[in-house]
Amino acid sequence: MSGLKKVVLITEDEPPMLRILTDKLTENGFETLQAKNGEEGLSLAFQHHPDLILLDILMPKLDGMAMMSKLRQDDWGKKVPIIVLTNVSADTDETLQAIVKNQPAYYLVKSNSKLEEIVEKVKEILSPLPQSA
Amino acid sequence: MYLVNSLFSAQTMKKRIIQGFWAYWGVKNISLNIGIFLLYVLLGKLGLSFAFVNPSATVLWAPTGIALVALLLFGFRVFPAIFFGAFFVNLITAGGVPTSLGIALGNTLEAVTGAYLVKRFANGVAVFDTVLGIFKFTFFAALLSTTVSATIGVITLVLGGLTPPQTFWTVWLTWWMGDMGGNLLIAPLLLVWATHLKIRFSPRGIGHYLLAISSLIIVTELVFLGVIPYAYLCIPLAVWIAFWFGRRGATTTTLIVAAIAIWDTIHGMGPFGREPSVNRSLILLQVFLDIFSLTALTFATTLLEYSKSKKIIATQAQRFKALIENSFDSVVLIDTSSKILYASPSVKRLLGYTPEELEGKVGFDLIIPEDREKTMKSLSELVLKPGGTKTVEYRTISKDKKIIWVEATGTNLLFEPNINAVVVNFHDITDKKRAALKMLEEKMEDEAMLGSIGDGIIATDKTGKITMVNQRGCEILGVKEKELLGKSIVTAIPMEDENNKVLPMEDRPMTKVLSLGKKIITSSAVYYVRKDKTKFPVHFTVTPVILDKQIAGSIEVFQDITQEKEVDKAKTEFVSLASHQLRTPLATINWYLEELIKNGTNLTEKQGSYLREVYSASRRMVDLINALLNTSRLELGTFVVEPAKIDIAQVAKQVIQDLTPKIEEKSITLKEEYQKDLPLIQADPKLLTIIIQNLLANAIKYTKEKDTVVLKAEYTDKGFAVHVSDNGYGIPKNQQSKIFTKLFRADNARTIEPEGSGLGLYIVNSIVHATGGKIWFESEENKGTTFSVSFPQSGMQQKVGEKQLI
Repeated sequence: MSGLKKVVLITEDEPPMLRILTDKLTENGFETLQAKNGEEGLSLAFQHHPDLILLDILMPKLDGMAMMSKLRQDDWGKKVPIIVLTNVSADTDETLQAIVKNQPAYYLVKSNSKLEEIVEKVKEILSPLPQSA
Repeated sequence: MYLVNSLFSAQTMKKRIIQGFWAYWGVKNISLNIGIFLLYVLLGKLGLSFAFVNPSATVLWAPTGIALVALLLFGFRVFPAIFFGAFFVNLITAGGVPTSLGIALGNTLEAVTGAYLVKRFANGVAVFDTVLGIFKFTFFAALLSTTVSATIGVITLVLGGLTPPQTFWTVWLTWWMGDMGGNLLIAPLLLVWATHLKIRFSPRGIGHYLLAISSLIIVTELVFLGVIPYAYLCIPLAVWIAFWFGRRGATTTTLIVAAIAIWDTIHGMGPFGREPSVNRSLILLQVFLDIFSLTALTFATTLLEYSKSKKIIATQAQRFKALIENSFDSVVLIDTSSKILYASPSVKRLLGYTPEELEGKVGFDLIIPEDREKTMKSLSELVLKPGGTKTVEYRTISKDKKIIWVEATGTNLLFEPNINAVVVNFHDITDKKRAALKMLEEKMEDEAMLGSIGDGIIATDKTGKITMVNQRGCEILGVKEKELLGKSIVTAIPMEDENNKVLPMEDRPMTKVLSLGKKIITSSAVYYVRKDKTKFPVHFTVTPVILDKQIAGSIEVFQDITQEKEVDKAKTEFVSLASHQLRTPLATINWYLEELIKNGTNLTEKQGSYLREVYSASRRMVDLINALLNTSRLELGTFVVEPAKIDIAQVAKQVIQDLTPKIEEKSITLKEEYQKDLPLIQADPKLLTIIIQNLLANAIKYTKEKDTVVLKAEYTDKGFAVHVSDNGYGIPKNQQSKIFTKLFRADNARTIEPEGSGLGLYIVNSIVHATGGKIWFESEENKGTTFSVSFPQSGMQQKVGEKQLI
């Protein structure tokens, strides 16, 4: 936990995407952690306990869904909000059910979402809203 | 029993006697009875004068014949004459009243029995017109009925003490023989003369007759006086007379011979006169005379029958000739070598030859060489079957060298008197033949066509029974044609839906076609089940066959679309995967562009606008890929419908918000008309968004700048409806039917807006149909378009699936 800044773990195998997401979130005052696959993401998550995880699904080594279910088996990991960010397979019934089951989790289609919208979503989740306070 | 019932029942008797004496009988009847009575008594007395074994039993009893003929000619009314005649004759001869009464009863019953049997079984008065009649008469009248009189008569004599019982059979035989003689010698004479009284006299005829009679008398006298004592010598004379003078001659001959023979025999002369007793002589003579009479009569009657049938044959021949002469068909008579013996007048019309020109010609020469062998064969077969017929079609050559098709029927009358030929009647069938040939050609063409068609074709009658199936159809279904013909299509080829459920009769497209008379094209996925239980997805078009404004059957054209389905599925999966792969770089491009546009403070105005163009194109690419993706999901049927309670207005507002840049760009006036208190609809928000988004985007896209677009949402008792109207370019009339087709874009739309996937309305239509809604539109080119979507009050139907639409 590092001071006032919220920490976001970005798990994304596409380097350009990882980079722009990192830049954008940093710009918006978040601290970021980067992982290039599920395994890396999982170890970083358990190591640093980020406030939120942006999770791609199709990744080498350990894919997003597997990483999510591993996270949820952990006491800390159970509660961390996850935004599944994907273009592939996120819309299968199975995935949708996994998201419902693994709350708090959200789902955004990359190509349909503006970068701004993703940041908004992160802020929305992490801002201390009256109802969650 | 029948006899007794009909003639002698007490009631009938009583009635007839009363009628007879007091009401019915006139002077005529009484005099007739008196006449017969007198004749009976006269001949009876004469006969009894030859009674040697008993005064009442004579071997010469003519009255039996008189009685029988009288009853046959005049009926029952003359029975008193017979009864009283017999009574009277016996009374004045021997015995008293009781025996005479008994004998009279016997004689009367004999006559009545004989007359009844002859009438019933042997043509009555016409009994001697046929040889068969003579035979029957001999049996029923001469042999059978005479036993009645003999039996009753002799019993009476015995009971009356007029003859000792031990002489019973001698007296009975004499009596029976006497009566038999009466029937065989006298009855034919009387009956034949009575029915053929008219005599045509001619000088030559009389001379001939006198010659015959005198010859007969001379020969008979020579025989029976004993000069030449051979009785059979009379027979040739009888034959001669019978031949020339017929039955009257024959019966008269018998009478003359009988008279001479009896006289001479009684006086002990001739071939029968030397027997120990006169009675015995007379019995033998009687036998001879009976046989003589029958022989002469039979011969005369045979001749009569022969001449009658000759007349009939002549008449028939006459008719046959008339028939041929007047026949519409042409008729020729040919011999076994086909030489024409006769040709009817109508050959002129058909062949151009007159009958005279044809007679003597060889028939085969008139037939074209190709058909000659065939007709020769037919004729040679026909010649072997007397009375048989044979029909053959061949081509003949007319006088003016034209070839004419004829149908000829030959009848073998080679052994028929007066004909002795093969009768051939024939008529022109050239027109028929041409039509038949043409039909055959057409039929073969049709069959070849049907056989070569790559689709299966099944025709049914109006009850759904299969009447035709083509080669390809059999191949697709894996059956033989004969296994299908005549069977109901519903049972012979089961149809299943996607869930392997067999469609019942009423759900089969053919049933609907036959009941409604409308064409049906497959709309949903159905499968045909082959004979081996495998199945295949089928695409078909069923069309009613209308004859005389009535549904006469149906024709189904079908294809096995297994491959198409597989290709389609593979294609869809490919699109789905490819879309995902394409979206990743696009998302990257978009995000970087967004950052550049937002933070690119070092860019010139122009550079900034270039970037915005790139960004807009990239966004459009994303939209296009999304549309493709949705299309593939719709087609795979894998998308989910998850209805929730939502507010249509809210969804609409969200859509409008997304489209605002475009609305503003074209300065379009958008009017939102939401019904007040619009209830929440049970609908999938994503799908409803896609529907409204597409309709609204189209309206904006295909409308001129500064025009008006109206978005209207309403709720009625029919359900929810959303209408999107514009006053834009409209859809050309001739393309309206294709507007929901995948990848289709109207011509004017292409010109106005080159950009467009042709997927929007396809997706909307697919969603609406899959969720239980309806979609329709009204459009006029350059006036505008209104698209409407409606859902029932219950909203969208839920659908379980794998994927959501984007």
